[in-house]
Amino acid sequence: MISTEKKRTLTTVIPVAEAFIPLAAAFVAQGARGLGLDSEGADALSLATEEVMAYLVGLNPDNSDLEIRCVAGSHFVETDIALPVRNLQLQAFNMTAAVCAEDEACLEQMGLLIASRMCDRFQISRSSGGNLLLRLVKEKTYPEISEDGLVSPPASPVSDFTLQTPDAAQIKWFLRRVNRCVPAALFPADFRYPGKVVDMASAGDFHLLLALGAGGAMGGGIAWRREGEKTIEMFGPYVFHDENHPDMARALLEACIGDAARSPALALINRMPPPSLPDGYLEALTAGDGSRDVPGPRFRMMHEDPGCVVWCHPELAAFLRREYRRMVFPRDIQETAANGETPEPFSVLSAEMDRNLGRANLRPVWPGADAEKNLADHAALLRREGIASIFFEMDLGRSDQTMFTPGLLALGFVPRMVLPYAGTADLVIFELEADL
Amino acid sequence: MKMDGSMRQMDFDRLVPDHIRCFTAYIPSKPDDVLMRMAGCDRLLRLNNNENPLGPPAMARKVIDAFPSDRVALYPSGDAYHLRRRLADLFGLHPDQFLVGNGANEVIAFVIKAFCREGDNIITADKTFAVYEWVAEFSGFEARLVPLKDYVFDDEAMLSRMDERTKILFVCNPNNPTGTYWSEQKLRCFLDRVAGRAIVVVDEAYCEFVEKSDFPDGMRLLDEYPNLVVFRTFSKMYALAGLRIGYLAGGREVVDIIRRTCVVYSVNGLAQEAALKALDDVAHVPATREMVRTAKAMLCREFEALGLPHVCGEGNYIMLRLPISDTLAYRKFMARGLLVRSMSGFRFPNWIRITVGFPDEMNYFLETLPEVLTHER
Repeated sequence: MISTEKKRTLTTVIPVAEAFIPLAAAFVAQGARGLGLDSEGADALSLATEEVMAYLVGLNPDNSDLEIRCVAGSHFVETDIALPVRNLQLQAFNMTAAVCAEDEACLEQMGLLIASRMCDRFQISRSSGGNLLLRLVKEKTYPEISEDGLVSPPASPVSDFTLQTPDAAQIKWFLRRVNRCVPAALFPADFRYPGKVVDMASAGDFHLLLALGAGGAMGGGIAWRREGEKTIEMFGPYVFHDENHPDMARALLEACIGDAARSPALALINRMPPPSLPDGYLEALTAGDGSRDVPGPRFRMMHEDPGCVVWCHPELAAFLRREYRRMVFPRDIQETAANGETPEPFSVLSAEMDRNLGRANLRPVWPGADAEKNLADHAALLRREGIASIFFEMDLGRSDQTMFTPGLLALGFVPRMVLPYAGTADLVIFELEADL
Repeated sequence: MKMDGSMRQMDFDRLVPDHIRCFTAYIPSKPDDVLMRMAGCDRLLRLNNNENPLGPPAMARKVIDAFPSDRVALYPSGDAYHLRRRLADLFGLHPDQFLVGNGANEVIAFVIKAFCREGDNIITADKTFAVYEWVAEFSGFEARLVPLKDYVFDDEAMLSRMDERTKILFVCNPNNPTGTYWSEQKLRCFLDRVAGRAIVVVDEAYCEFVEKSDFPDGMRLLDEYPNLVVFRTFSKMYALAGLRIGYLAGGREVVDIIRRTCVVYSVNGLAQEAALKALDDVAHVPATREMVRTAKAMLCREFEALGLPHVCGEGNYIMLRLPISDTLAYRKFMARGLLVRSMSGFRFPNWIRITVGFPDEMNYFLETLPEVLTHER
């Protein structure tokens, strides 16, 4: 059965059985092509689906069906494979399951890992509907910006500017100027691919505003995009002539905040604040190290904070108290730890890998007695895969996640920041500090 | 689809209209006792909701204090019968020219439901009371937002945004949060130029605070403009916010149409009786005006001394611009037992709105302000 639920979404439901592996692969291949991926990308997504399907068949889930959805994003095609967790041993969905990290031959037998290598992003999670969800994302291919075409800053300040939403040509012009005038550490990698940003803006996945003078001269701009349900990430404001400071930067920033203010977002984050970010609008997300030259990530709450209860392991309590005091967040911190009760034997971690960024996020799906070993196995595997930045997101609204804390700290994960309301309550972001 | 576990899963996405899926529910403040526990403070001064710290007029208090508990077993008047007659006497209109609602918020919904259908739009300002915009959007109608001009509703720009699908123009007079207002001449001119093409709602929630001679009384214009609807509330000047009662007035024809969408019995009996008596208390309005006048003078003086930009218009509130994020300021004030309104949601980033009140409350606010502004980048 094939149905088009909404525009640019294809769905099929098939039994988890070896005989249907080619059907799943063909569905994804044809679907991805139809949704705009080139042949190479569609083939990669199809092969990844085949590997996942074969792995699922190997788990022998009795009489299960799975649902495959191919969804066209602005600049990617996403394949979601969902099946009920009933009859499945969840620990089989750790990325590390059946993997002996030292043995490359053994690694090659690991279907989920192979699938992840064929995608730009790969995620295993448990959906709210009780299904296991495997998400494979393949991005469209865009040419990287040409160094020859970069645009110098304006020779004179732009007067009488107004803020305008740019068209495709203006977006590309803006990005050519950002790439010339702004250090690469202060804008997202997507800005190296103008076609991608144009597609994202066209679909509403990226919002941009430019400050344009009466004659059309471009003095600056700002960009932002949704990150999950409750957060907006912003980039900029970038102002290209010193004499346009600070009015232009302030106008761009206030427009961005105004747009976010009546959106579902609870927080606005700027992970790479440029020097032109006006003072006083955003707060420091991390405690400063005394250096003003390299400002850390900044944020702004978009709503009045109503306060909430957060759960934490005693070993994290001091960090949280310090951070909540610094950020002036009213929180009812409830400490919880094991008191001799019998834990589940196995833990499960959801892994989201972005090979383009060399970054992986681990999230707890299920706590278990083997949490520390499971974390260590994941970290080792990700390092072997060449992932440089490994993060762990702990949802402080979920008491069961606190039991991962001792293992994280023992392995060298360091709590870096608290993201207000980024989960069911706040999220603590841990980063693996050193090689294992 | 097969289910996991005993609870049946619903695919709400297939049922929910797009305009509801995209809309975010308003999250009201937690109750004071919860906020105080979270913030670790032992008192909470409410300067966030434009409530009147004097409380209800004395005559309304008597009704509230004496309200017999037996009466809660009975339905109230379904259409606020006595209150509408009293309002008619007060304003020289007919009782059928009034509709009473569960707060002015409810009558906003009545009007939008009465006149808008798919594809229609409403027009209001971008930086004003948000409920006009919210009700339109979660009802599936476009809200066209016109930027304020020097903190004032921009009449020309509003007129220029009208088209054949524009059904309602909302004007908040005086505007919450800027306190700016249209004079009678400006309002008349606007109504003349709308020329009956759409309903014009003038929200006069704060009109009782205004002492300026050129401020228009919308009630007196109803006979001349059949497309005019006026909102008023008992929540602000009359301090009955906890009872939830407000009303609209208009020509008999327009009110008859709006009445068709009106939920009867939505206003409780105590609210109706307290409102009735509140209107009879002649001392309350002057006393409140005096308190507001004194507090505003004090705050403005101090803000000027501190070099803080502020907007002090009509109404029982002042807007203050801070050199830090308003949502951070909100948290810092709350940690010190003060609730202020952060203005990001009104699209005034780094501004807060303060309800003016008793001198000791204002003094405490002013003492706290420098601590709140101590901020490291």
